[in-house]
Amino acid sequence: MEDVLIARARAGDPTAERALYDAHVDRIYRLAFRFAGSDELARDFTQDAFIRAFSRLNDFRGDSKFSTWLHTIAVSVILNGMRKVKTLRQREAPLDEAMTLGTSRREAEPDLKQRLAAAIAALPEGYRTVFLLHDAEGYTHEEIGEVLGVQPGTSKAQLSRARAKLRDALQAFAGEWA
Amino acid sequence: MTDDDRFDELLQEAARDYNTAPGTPRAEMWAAIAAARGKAQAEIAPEAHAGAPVAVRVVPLYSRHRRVLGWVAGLAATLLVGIVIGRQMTLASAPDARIATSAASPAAASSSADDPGKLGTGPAFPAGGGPKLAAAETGSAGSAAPNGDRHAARETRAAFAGLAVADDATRGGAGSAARGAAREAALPYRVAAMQHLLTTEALLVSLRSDVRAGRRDTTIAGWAGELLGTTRMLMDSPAGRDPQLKQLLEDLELVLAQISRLPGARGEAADLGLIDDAVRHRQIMTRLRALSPDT
Repeated sequence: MEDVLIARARAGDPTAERALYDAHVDRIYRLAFRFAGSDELARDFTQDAFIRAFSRLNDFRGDSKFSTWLHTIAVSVILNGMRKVKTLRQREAPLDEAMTLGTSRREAEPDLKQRLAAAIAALPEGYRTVFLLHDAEGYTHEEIGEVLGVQPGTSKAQLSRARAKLRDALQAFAGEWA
Repeated sequence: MTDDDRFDELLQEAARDYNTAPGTPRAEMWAAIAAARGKAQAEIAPEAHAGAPVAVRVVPLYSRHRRVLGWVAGLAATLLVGIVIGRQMTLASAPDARIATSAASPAAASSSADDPGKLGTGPAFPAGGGPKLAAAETGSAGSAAPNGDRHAARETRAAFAGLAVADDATRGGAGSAARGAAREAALPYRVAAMQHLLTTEALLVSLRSDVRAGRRDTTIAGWAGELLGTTRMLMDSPAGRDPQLKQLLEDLELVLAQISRLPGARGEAADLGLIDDAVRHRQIMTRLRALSPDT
């Protein structure tokens, strides 16, 4: 069924493109939101991923599943987009800090979830990507390997290191899960 | 269960709550995707703008006229070359031709001096003129047209066929060398005149169809202006020696001058009516069609 839709979309049928979009958009948007943490960025990434996928549909050979191919494009778009966002935020951060200096009160100690969220956000890109794809989105290591173009073993190793880093970052909360 | 296992469970649970997406804004994102796709496709191929209202591709009139103007320019160039060659050859062969004419056919020579056009329709027609006349009488244009139109067509065809003959006759008609040279000299004018009449017919048909459809092509005046110039050049060339073709060219000159002066984007109905009257009254379309190469 999806093969037919892909063939029709290749021929320029907008209805087929819409059907493919409907079938995959939820997962792509959810993934984009996981990485971006904002609706605006997630929309941009999702739209960009579909636009690129449709314009490169002739490159899809059917060697892998369409969803894998689409997620490969989406992850690439998301990671590239997040790198740009990170660079921009780093440039803007000193100004924001200077503006809030002396006026901010000491926040209450964040709870475990907030601390965990901060620790995930602070993970190196490779670890964070594998961690979110595996633990948040439920990808298998094989799928992660296909999407990122790495061996499943590499994915497993990166996930292990990501968890170790998070454990270190959350050492203060060790008693809560012990 | 070890601490590590419990920690991993907690991590997975926390990860599922990490940056949880709200509902997917499907429609809004699709609208943006469709717009971007439409724009990209329009840039690649404006006529195949999928996903958006597709405009019917219309070949711009100016491009059609540009092609026609190219033909007109080529026609004018051919005509100029023909005039130059013709004058050269006339100067070179005139004395011999006069001598040959007076010796071999005094009647023809005297007729040519009085009215070269009559020679074209007279009994002294060479083989080339005969079939054309026959075709005029039995052609489809003639059979469908009223008597007046048929007569006009016959006259025009005869006049056109007589172009070469008139040239032959004025040069004497005797002596195969002189006749061959005269035919060669007349050929560029015949070709140029034929092409010009066809192009002019195309303009008149285009104008008529525009008028009937309620359209107004603003470039048609410029097109008519170009054709008007060619018409005047033909009138001054050996093609204009034939009185009947000359008459047709004069009628065309009048009509083309009227069209070339059509005002602005919307021609006045009265102007268009006058032009239409002139075309019909002078049977211009019939006379033009009588000269079509396929008849």
